[in-house]
Amino acid sequence: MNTAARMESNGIPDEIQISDAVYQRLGDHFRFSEVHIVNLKGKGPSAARLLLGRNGSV
Amino acid sequence: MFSGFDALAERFGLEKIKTIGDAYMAVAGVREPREDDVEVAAQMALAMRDEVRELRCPNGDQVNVRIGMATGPAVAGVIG
Repeated sequence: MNTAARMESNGIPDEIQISDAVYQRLGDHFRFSEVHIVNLKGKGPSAARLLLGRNGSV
Repeated sequence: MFSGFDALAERFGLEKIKTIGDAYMAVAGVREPREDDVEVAAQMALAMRDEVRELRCPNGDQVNVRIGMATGPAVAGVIG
């Protein structure tokens, strides 16, 4: 839950920032940004993406 | 806004944990494990984002929201 909170506090207004583990689990039904690195307090550099939307109809 | 989020949590099957000031925290797959926990959390995140996009302050300003998601094992306990 802490990682989620860090993803949020390091995030961008009106965007959903997700950890790499979330990205790996979600797959083709959703659209994502390219991977970027965020510096998470207590965890260091971590891979993150933005969840942009659904892919087609879900 | 938070009562709208409560309705979304119910709709997508997430469990609201708490609100902390202007933050809203919810989880999926904790009460009852589910295969699609990350997917329903993503659906809720997108719905929250879409809902907030439509909101306006009394003075007409837009409302902005930041959303973060992570997944992994959770440990719970009571301390004290």
